Amino acid sequence: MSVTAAFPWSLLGIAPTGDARAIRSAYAARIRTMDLDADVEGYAALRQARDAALRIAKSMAAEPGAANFGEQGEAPAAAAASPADSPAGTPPGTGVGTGAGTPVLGGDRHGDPALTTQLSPIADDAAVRFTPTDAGPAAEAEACGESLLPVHPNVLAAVRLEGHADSDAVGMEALQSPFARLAALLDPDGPQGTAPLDDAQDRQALAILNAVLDGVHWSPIDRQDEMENWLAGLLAQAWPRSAPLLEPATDAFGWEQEWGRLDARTPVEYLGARLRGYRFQRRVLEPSHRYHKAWLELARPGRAGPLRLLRANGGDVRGLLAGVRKNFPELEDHFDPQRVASWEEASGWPTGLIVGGGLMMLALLVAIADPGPASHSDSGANPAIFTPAGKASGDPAAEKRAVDEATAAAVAEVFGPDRDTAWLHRQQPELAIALELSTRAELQDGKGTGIAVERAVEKVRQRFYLDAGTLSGADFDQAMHLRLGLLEAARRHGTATCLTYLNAGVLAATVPVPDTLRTQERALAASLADRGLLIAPGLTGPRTASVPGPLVQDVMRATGLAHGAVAQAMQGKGSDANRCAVSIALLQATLRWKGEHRRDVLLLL
Amino acid sequence: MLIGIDLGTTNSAVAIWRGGEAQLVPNALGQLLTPSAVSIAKDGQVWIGTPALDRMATHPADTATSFKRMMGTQRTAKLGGKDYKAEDISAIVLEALVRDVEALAGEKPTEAVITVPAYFNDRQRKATRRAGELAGLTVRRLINEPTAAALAFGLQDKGDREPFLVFDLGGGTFDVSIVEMFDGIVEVRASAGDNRLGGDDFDDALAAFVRPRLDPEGLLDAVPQERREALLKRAAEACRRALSSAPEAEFALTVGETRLATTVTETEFETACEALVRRLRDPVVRALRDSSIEAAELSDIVLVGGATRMPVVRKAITRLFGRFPNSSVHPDHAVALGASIQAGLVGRDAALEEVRITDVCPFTLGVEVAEHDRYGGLQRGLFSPIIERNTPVPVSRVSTYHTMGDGQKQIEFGIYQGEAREVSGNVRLGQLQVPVPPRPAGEVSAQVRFSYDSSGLLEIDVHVPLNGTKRTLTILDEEDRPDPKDIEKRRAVLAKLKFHPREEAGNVALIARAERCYEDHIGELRQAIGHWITEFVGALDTQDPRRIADARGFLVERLDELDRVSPL
Repeated sequence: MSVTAAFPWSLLGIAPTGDARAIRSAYAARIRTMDLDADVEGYAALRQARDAALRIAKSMAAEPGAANFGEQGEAPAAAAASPADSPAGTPPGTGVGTGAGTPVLGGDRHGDPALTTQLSPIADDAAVRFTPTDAGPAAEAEACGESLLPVHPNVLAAVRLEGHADSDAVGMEALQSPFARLAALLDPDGPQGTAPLDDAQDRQALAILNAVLDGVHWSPIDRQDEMENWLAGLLAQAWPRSAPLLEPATDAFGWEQEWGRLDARTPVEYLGARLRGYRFQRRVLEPSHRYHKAWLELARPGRAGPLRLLRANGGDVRGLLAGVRKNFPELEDHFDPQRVASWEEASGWPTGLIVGGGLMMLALLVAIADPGPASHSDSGANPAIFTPAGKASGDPAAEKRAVDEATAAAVAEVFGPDRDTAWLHRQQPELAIALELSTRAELQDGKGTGIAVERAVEKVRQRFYLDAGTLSGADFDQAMHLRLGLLEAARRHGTATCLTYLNAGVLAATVPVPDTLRTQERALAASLADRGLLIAPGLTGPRTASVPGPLVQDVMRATGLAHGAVAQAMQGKGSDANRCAVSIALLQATLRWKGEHRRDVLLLL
Repeated sequence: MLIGIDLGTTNSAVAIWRGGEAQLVPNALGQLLTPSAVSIAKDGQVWIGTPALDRMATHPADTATSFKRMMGTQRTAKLGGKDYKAEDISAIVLEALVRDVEALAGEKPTEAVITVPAYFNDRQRKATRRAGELAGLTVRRLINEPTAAALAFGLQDKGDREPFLVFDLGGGTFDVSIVEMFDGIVEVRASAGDNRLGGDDFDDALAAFVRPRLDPEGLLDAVPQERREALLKRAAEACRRALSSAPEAEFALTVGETRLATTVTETEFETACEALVRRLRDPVVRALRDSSIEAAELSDIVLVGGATRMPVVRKAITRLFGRFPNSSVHPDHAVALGASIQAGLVGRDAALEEVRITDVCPFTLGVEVAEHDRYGGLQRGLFSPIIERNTPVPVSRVSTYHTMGDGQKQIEFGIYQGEAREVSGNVRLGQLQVPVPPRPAGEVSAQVRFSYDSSGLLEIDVHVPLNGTKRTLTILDEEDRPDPKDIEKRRAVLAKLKFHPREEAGNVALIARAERCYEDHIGELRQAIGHWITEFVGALDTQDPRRIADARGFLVERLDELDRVSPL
């Protein structure tokens, strides 16, 4: 042989060869002469030489010209990789069109590089208390009392689905394997893209997933591995459409244990991050969650000014932001970039001041902006990543009828039974369209007329005191009195409700509002609309106002709180109960007050 | 003399390499397996093995089993009013094994190869080595249990073997290793495991499953916890073993004067341990992935460990691999036999001249680092691997790290083991500080070398090129290196214990067994057993060998009869 006997052959002490046995024998002979513990580097070099030589031998064997190099040692690997015995249930790859495709034996386990994320799983407790929901011991997903057979007969059989009237819509034959059916249902390149599943599809998907998991359960281990990788890839690509399937799939494969590991497979890690984010989001939307207010604040559109501190505690906002970035970066999409930026800019995080002469700075954020007719009214406060949007519409005429009816109901509820949609179109066309659009969006989301009507009430309510700046005299006072009434109603319902109303400007529909108050609200709304005054709020900048000393005294008397506690509450600190009580007392006192700053303070309340 | 010891969760065994073959050494009762159980009375009297297991029923507060599960932790067990760590109790068992070898070979062994689960971490390994030292042994090598089993399996016929998988489910730990053998070189390609999964967990699952049905009136709630656990554990174990050979078995125990019993079917047992069975899959998948070997390529699935006898486990294996496992090695003996082969290798025995074994480090080792994130913040607590898992050992690797603060005066290295990207998810092994010259951030570097030897023990060197400082760390903190005085102190405590003379072992075990039977039965039978015990003790007191032998024969016969009637 003319090849120079360099690495790896020199170390092995043999001439270049394609014979794997000769290479391994040479390695064995060498290693017997060594004291491994005394020659760690030599051992490492020898091993590398052997592995390199075996690779060379393998590639020689693979070349047609070198086919005569015997290589019994590696032969079974090639046989195992034969595509002829690909898993029974694997989708036919082509046709279903998921990027995940058919699992490839021995292929790259890291899936689509586009999914690469840098997500850390474990929360930094110092910064944020993101305790992931306790998944508990792996749930007994599939209870099987059946006898154990190496291959379960149902893997190949069709999945029977209950209540799946629209299985044809998926475009698949009923007899296809669950793998193919699932791939078709979730197909990110399909007609519905990654749009969330509707209720029927959701049930169908879960049923198919169970069949898939059953198929996996009864398969031999490397098939399981393939199927698992395939499923992880499919779910990752189909996110967020695949969302409802995440928990059961994660349970079945124990993916949770893989999160945060150095060798976690990319799709598993990606799905883990989504699932943890979803769990966190579900919890943070509970008003009792520590970061609930901070979340609402960051989700609110527009810039935040010095008044923001009445809405959320600076430490919490910082903690939430740091935690989200560290743990669930994708959730930052739910925050308003401008708002995030304005919190970040504010170095030193203003804590408010007490001005001499008994004046106190009241810091409050005014911008309860109406996001406008085009977007979901609840996009900030309740980012509904799992609510199915754009449900396939049936009959357009029927749909229009439903929207018209709901809009009429909303108008009647907001402005009184003697007003109709046509009237609103004449008086305030912009508002009429906005209400119609939001009503349609709610109905399409599968919500009932009741919800659509509640949304309309909220929208108009927000308008009147956002517009309060443009109102004057009696209108202004009345808007403020109504605001007070609603705040009190909210407080009667609970401190949390009161704070939510103060912070988010949204009064939960479950809060009972006295009929007299509703009648007054309707009258004012109708009167403003009649005069064309119920206009969309402009960009209201954050402002501060000085609270005159006598008002502070009044508040202290009314609430029984000390000066310090009142000052704290006005700066958005202290307990929820104090903040709520102080806001109400200040509103009452200011409405009685005839002195200076009256309007400024009211505008901030 | 160099011996091989399998220090198991449920049973321990010792073997010697003699005349070119591995040979198990029987204990004083003639058993090849010594239950890993120790009972110590207030006066310092010690029972080891089967009699200790019997005393679990009569003296649960003085008796410890499954203490291997506490290895490497600070937890202690109270026996006879004194606290013992897992390594102390293990040392007592090891000493008993040493005496057994001495009785057989006429020579007291001084050196040993001791097996540990492949997935034992550094702390657990060091604790095991200390147990050996406490028992007066020089531990020449710690060897992974599946590797030992692979040696025993592989050397059966010394032929070449395509990669095979060792599936080692013991009483408390689960290991999977993929091994191949060529020209006498036994090469472990990858190991994975779960050091908290074993037969004990199946017992617990069965007990939890059965309890509501067994004891609807909550009689057990009134029993002190230790005793309750001991009762349930023993009943569960007996029931589980019975289920290995019958479609249903009785789960029975006696509380005071009441006997509680229920029948458990195989199917019910399978349901009860379904979650555990599912945990068997993950290590198998990891080992296959790490070795890039397909399951279809495996030439054999070798079962090791008593818990692999369970039909539910065998079924799961058959399903996972699509074929029947290989049962050609004795699941309880293979590890000890392999340990003695390793002892022969360490001792350079001529019969093993052609044989070498190479193993891997089954977990990732590295240090804690911080990094700047894209928002300019500092991400602390990240794990920077230095030795990747399943790297062949011995191995030595270097990584370089830089200072992050201006004028930083020292670098602190937290040493961790595990697979999580953040150190909080890994096992902390200790820490090492090196002083560095104060310079602007990033200008000072430190080279960290991790050396992992064939016993799976780690040594760390840190070198700061700028000023030539070097630090070496073999043992990472106080807990890991008790100073020699401390070892002496523990030895002194153990030396005060009183052991039964070897020739009395049979009688001692018989009394423990009879007392256990007394607890297990009620009414007239109990009275009768009490009477037999009195007679036997009376015979012992006469010191008349013939009378003792007769009384013993009588008692053994009666107890055997009782055990035949009711398995408990």
